[in-house]
Amino acid sequence: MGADRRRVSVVAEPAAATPAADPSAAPAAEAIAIEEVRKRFGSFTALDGCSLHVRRGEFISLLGPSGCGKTTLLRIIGGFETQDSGTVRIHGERVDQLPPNKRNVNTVFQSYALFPHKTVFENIAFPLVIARVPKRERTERVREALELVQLRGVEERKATQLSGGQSQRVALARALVGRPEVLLLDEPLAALDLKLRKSMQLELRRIQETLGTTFVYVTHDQEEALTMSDRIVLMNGGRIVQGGSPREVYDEPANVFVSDFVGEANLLDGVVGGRDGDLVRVDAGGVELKVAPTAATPAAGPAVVSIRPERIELRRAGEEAGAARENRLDGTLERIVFLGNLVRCHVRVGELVLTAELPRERAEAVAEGEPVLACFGAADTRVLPPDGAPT
Amino acid sequence: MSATSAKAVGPRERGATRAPRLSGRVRGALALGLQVGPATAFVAFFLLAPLVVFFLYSLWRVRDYEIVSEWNLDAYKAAFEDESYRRLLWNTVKIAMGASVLSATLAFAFAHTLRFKLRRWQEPLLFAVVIAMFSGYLVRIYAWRTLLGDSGVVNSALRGVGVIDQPLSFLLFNRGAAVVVLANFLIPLAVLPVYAALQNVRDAEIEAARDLGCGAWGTFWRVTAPLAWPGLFFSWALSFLAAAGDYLTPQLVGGANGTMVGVIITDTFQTDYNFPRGAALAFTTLLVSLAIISVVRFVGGRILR
Repeated sequence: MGADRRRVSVVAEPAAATPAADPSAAPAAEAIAIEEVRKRFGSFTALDGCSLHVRRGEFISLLGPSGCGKTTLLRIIGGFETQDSGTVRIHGERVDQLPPNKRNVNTVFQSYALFPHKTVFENIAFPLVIARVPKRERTERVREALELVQLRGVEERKATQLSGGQSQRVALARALVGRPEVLLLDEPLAALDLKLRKSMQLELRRIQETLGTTFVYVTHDQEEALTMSDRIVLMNGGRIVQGGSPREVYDEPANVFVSDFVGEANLLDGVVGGRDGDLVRVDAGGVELKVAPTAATPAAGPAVVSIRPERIELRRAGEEAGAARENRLDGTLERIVFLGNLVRCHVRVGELVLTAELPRERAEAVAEGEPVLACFGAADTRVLPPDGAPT
Repeated sequence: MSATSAKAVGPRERGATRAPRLSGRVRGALALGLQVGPATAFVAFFLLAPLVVFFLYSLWRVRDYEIVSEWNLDAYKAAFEDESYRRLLWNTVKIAMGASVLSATLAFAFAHTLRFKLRRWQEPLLFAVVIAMFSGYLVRIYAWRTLLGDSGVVNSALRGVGVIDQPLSFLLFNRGAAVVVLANFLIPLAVLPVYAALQNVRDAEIEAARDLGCGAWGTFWRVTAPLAWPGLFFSWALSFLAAAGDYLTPQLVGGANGTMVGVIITDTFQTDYNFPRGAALAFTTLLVSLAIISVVRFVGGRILR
């Protein structure tokens, strides 16, 4: 949130961008295998060569800003769009030419898309009627589906007479009642209020674990993706930028875009200088930082240092505690923002403004306008190639 | 002075808690009246009042070219018992049904294509429909006569190519011609309601039906058609009523078996000056039309669910 934060657009190198399938998993164990899918709408490239492998029973989130191609990818899996090139397999079967009704994949739409002329019961029973499931079994399965999504006593209501949360649950029940191999969810919680969204996130995860169905979840909300997913796949500009567990994408972002999009980060422009034992020195706007290099760290030249706000500790100037940290920067505490459980502090260090987040009681030692010491370890940072540079 | 004011305060105070709500309700009623009042008055004066007058006429009698208020049901008896009126009414229902089904079907096909296939051309094409709606009625009837007449475009062309020697006379002056010409007049009228209804069918609902296992036809019958049914019904009913009440087309292109009850009703009013019988015929036609429309509405609503 400091002046050093920038909007970034990153083009990642395909090799690093492709989240490899679990090498131990045989191909048949894959729920979805997407290879080099490309899609253009007129002059706009929606997908620029995406490859993705999803294991059976995995909860995977496609995360990215709007226009990054995540919904297009989901619609290609669902059969609502046809890719210009590349292949899509679902449970080993190539589905490129199959219409949506021939794919054992169901979708929960962002707008729910309930049939307004039908009751809740008729909506949920719809796929069973189409599949000619006998009437008694139909009733039983609708009841089970309603139980799964914890809805009772609304069967005879029209779909138009439901609240947002209820519609959401009916849409989910309708998509699950046909027992699809894969469930696609297109920002299904976007229209709900925050409280309801939070509880639905946990409930979706519970339902997914109960059924063991593969979930592919599209969202632009990084917190939602972190809460629910086994794996998060970050997309930007029609490409897959990074894939990994929530912990991995948060702690080990592959580039500036991921670091910026997932969680908060101080992103400092700098130049890689000499080595200092195991560490690398980076000159960031006149401030020298000692950072631990990773595979993504450029050997020399411009780089971006990313530091999570919660990794920065603030000390009163002159205090000796925290001396073990490699970076101890003298600065001025410009502003304290109260966030409830946390306190966000903006610290000016030379030309930089660092954002630190600390628990309330830790912040009591410092005050606005006073000189402070911002401390963080070399391992608390990530040095990433700057925007546009080939990684 | 003080005594009276003190007395007055009592009830006013008690009413004070109720007064704002009451005046709010009054104001609401006033606003509602102002909103629907003028339209209601217009309909009452120009539609309901003439209807009531004609209904009274139908129960009265003509004597010496004057309407006298002697209550009787003779006009209705004639309308029901007279074989020729019955045949005419049946003919009217057949022609109106043919024309309205043709126009509603074509209008639906057109609106469906506009909504789902030719999205980019929606506005110019709808504009063309509106233009067509306002083109002259008589002009169009005569245009059809020029097209289908003995020396019309179709016959001349066929003769020119050498397919026929004598002009095809079945093209004009029969029931089929009346149906086609009426449908041609009604299509623009029928397009607008059904188009509006199809606008309410969202892409997501159609995608959901496909997603849940429906093919293209299943999606159409289970989702698109039921959702568009109110508009489709309205289009058809409008066409049916307009066709059933028409008297120009049957006169000009209908021929002998294309005569409709509207022609006789106008004759009864204008030539015979028999207002009671004309009114009774008109009400009978209206009643039969409304009965048919109710049946279609009920059955259609049952089928398209």
